[in-house]
Amino acid sequence: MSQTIVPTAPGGGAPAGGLDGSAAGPPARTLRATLASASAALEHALAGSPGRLRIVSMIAVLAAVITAVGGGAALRERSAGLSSASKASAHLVLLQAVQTKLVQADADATNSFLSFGLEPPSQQLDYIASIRAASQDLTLAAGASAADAQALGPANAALTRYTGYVASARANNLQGLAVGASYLTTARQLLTDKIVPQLNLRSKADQHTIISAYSRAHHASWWLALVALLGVGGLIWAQIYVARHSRRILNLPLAASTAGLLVALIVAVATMAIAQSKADSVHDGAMAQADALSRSRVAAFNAKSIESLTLIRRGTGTPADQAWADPMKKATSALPRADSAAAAALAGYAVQHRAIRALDNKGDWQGARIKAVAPTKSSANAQFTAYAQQTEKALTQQANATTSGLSTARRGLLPAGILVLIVGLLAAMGAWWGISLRLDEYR
Amino acid sequence: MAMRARPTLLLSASMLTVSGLALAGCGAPLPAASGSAQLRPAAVPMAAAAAPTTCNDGQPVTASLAPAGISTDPASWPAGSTMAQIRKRGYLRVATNGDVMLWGATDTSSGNPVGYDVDLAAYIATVLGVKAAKTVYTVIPYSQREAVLQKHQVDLVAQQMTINCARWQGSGVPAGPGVNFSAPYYTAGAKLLVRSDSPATRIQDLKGQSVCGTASATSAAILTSAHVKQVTEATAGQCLVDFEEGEVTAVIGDETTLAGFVKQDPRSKTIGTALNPGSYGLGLQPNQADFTRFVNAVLEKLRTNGTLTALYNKWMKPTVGGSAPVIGAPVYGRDLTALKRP
Repeated sequence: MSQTIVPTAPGGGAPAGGLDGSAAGPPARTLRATLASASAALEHALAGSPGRLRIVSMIAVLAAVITAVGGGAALRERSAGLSSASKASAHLVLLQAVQTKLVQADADATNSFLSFGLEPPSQQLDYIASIRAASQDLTLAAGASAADAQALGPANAALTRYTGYVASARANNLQGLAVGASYLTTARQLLTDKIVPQLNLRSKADQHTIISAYSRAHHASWWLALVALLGVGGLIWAQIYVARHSRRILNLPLAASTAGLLVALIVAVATMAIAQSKADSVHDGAMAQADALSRSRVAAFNAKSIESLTLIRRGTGTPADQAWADPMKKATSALPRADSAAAAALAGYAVQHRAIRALDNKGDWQGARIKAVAPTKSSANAQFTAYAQQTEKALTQQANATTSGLSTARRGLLPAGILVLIVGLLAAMGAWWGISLRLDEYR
Repeated sequence: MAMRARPTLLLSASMLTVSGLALAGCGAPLPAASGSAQLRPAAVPMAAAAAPTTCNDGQPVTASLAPAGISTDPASWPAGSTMAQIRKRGYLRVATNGDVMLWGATDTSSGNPVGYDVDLAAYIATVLGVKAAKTVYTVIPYSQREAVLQKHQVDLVAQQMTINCARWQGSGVPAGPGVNFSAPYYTAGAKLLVRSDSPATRIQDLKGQSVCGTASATSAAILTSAHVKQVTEATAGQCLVDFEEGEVTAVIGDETTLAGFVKQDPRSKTIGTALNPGSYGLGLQPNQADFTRFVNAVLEKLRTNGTLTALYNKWMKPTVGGSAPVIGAPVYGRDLTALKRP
């Protein structure tokens, strides 16, 4: 027996509407009516002069709000960029300090090796202090980010190993055992192969961060310019429109809003320009100086280590002395010209070094060794210490100036951003109010 | 004139046999290995070539220039000779080691190198009539030994230098004018350094363990065939560091170098039969035939009067015991003009 199944509407009710589906039920009819009514109201609201004024009003409000939000964001972006640059530069300074302290410690270790345990106590103390400072700074630097921890953790472990090798080198040397020199060589190899590359890796990451942070800060200027043009332009256009379509030349609330926003933007642009100028000044000044001093110190301490190692590995010196000359050239060229005292000390050391090499090259190793470890005032060690102290002082000054300079540079940016946001929103309200007054005249 | 070919070394299969090799102070350029076919490591191409027992002038490897009338008496020295020039200069210039204890290592109290090779050079200085204390020592890496002689920077190299044809002929890499050698004054081969409490007696006992050696084809060939983990360092001293730090179980190297290691680390010992023995000779400038003859005259004297034995007893015996290696009578007959040098 067959049965005809009649399709039902969802919910099991009777099919809605007629067969052509053109007639909607009561809820659909209500929505359509509402939409039609709203459309008619909108058409009415935007029709004629009052309608056009309302459109102008909305454009003016929108322009002011965009300026408020965009301007505030641009200033915040610049502040964040400089903050990022500040953090990265502080981290970079820390890494450079670690590297410098390590090569300083290595220079102490290699030079004291030549004294067969009878080095000046200050040299041993300087080695200990340098290692301690490097270890502390390395721990701090490793804690900055996950990438830092990953790269600098192994470097810290290698540093522990390095100090163990140096201690063994010293102990064997004191006993007159030749393996001491091998321990020293292994220690230096560890420093150059396992620690310095990791420091360089993170230093490069910091330099990259600084470059991109500065670039980010520069882009913020364009954003501010764009939103300022949009906001002030929008308000001025509204002012002109209103003036043209009424007998009043000046709409006071609208004019006040325009003027207020303009002032706030001028303050913002000025703050941003001052901040960028200060930041650029830090970048090209203190930061560049600190970087140059660090590079000079690392190269100079390397040269000093090589001087000692050449004597330890007796007979490995050459008349060209290239292994020493290369880092020495870097140390000299990187040294800021203004630092004449350090330059003079470094030049004085170079003269003493050449005298050491001349003795060794002509076969007087013992004379060269004694000259290389001599603590007297004009000795190589004394001249080098003068350079090291002078550059350390300058480096500390420049590093502090970098950190404080970048911190100062971004100081006014956030308040200026808040000012633009508040004034922008007030300007939006002012624009709406001003045009509303004009609209009232049509009622 | 007595001429003796270098005896061919035949090692039993129970020992690792890679003959014809010379391990000179661990870091020296070395001739290729050869040996019994079943033990030759197929994976090491260098091991396939045999080291020549005679050089391209037909002379045995260790053959040197006969004193030929030159003696330790200055009256026998021709006018303008190298010996006369050194006397006039007032000091001898010697290249040696600075970190191989017992052979050439810096004495921390004096700052001067001391050891077997240094003493040997001092004897030569004394016979020359210049003060041994005035000797100018240059510590050089092994790779520089031929260069310092060819550039006339030193009068002789006393640095556990193994005599081989490539060095005589200048046919090594890079090819050059070669160097002269004195007659042999010592023979030594490769051994292993292990902890004093190690039960190992030969390299096969170290299978699967790490062994440090310098970057030489010889070490690689020996270690590869023994199936040990190879650790390579630039210098033998750095291998000792690895050994003391517990990073490697053993160090492979010249037995004389290892003796110096035992001296420094009393909890170590050397094991194994000396592999690939080679003869040490003093390296001399390639163009100074007269000085080569003179040095051979001095060595003959030191050999016959027991000085070489005394040197062994002074430097090696207290650490490794035993007696001085038998080096046999010197072999002469080499004529520099017959050597085919580049």
